[in-house]
Amino acid sequence: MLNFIIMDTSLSLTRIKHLLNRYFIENWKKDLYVGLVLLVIAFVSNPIAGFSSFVYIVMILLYTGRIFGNLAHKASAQHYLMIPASTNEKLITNIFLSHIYYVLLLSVFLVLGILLRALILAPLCDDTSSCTFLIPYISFASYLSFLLFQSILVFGSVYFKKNAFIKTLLSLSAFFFFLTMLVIFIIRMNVGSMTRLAEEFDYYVRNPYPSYLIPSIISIVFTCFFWILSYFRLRETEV
Amino acid sequence: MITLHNIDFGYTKKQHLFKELSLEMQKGHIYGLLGKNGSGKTSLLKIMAGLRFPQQGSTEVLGYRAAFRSPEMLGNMYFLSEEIFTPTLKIKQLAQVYASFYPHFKQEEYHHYLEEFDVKDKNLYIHKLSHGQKKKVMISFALACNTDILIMDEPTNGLDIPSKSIFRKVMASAANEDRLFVISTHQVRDLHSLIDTVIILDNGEIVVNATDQCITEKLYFQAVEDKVDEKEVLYMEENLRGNLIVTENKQQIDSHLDLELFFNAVMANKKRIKEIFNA
Repeated sequence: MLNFIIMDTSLSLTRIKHLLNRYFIENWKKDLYVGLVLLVIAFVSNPIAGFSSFVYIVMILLYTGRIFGNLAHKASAQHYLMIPASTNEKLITNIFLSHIYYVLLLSVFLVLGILLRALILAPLCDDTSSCTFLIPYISFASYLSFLLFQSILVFGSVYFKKNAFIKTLLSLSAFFFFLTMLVIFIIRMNVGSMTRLAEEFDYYVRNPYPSYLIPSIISIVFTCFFWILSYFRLRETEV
Repeated sequence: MITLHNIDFGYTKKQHLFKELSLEMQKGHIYGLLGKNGSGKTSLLKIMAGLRFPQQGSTEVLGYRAAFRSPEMLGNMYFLSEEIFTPTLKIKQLAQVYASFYPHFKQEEYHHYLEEFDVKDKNLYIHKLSHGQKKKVMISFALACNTDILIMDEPTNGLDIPSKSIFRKVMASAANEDRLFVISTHQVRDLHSLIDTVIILDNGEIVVNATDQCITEKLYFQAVEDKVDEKEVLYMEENLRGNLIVTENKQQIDSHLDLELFFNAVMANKKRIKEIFNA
């Protein structure tokens, strides 16, 4: 008798399409309202100050952190888990929604807001000449870091039943706090042998073209790791 | 169709709700799962639906392991829970969105059942309806899915008296020899004349699992005005016209199964009735 959970490999693009269709029909109004809020914020705030971009990032992270929010309530969780689609398909759908669809949707509203500001308020403001302020945010390495953060939030949203976003952030904060404490402790214990490490760190900081290869690989590996963890957590969710 | 084999289940590790419980359910039957509040009816249904995992034992539904919640199993099984979740959709949209997940869904049947329940305006949002109306919509959808297995947890809760009667009618019309219905309730009168097999659950144990025919073969239900020999009586209830009694059917006399009386008899005289059914 099998007493352990094996990975379910069933994957149907048709069912993913049905899941997406279900999501869009049920949520298009809500997403549109959120998009319009961002558009208004982008229109009224100075893009160079970066407030609208900050709101944009927060909105994406909030959405990602609550992507499995329907598991928080018994009735909606039962309904969701009983939809005839595999765990793979449900996870892939939600990763697509949080990592691609919502990012692009909000980008459209953000850019629209900025462009509208540039068109309407151009004679009044001197900050609306271009959208070049967006460029520094968009790099492959930074996107991978963002992806990793999103994958942690997806895992948090499956793992924690209530207030998943806040609990995930608190867990992350606690983890980094203890990690910092551990590093400080190790450094204090090994003051003598730290010279070489300090030199390497100094070189890394001073290097004007640091290599992002290793951090990028780490980001990709951990992103996949958290997706797989989310899969098993979703598979083992009971209501 | 549904096989539970020696399952152990509990919400805490120390307290077991079910201990080595086994149950087999075949197609072509309407099972009534009866029990007092807290007897484990909902938990048992959730185990069958793959929403709860037993600590020991196996649950097989349509040849699939229930805990896997495979799409093939879910597409051929519908679980209507007591607390229904209603998506932010109009009544007519529900079929458009969710029908695609169920290979045997029939749109015309969905509309037919809605008509039966007197739900006329299909442009209303489901989440804005009253609890009873929501239930009617979800029961109509569940039946129209035409799944091989239909599990319903307290489906008549929140339905008005005429709707309960319509519920029995539509359920009877939807049943056939290829389908299996499991209906749990603590309001046994609601399932009167609908179920053909009775499962009574008490303290996590299946006390009775028998067809209505088997019950009336083994027990005799009658209304008497005179005094009766209490030694022979398994259970007695007083009413205005005399007494309703349940006795062992030693003479093989035909009688009509009174579900509520039977349930009360089992609760009052569990040990003796178990002996009669296991003989």
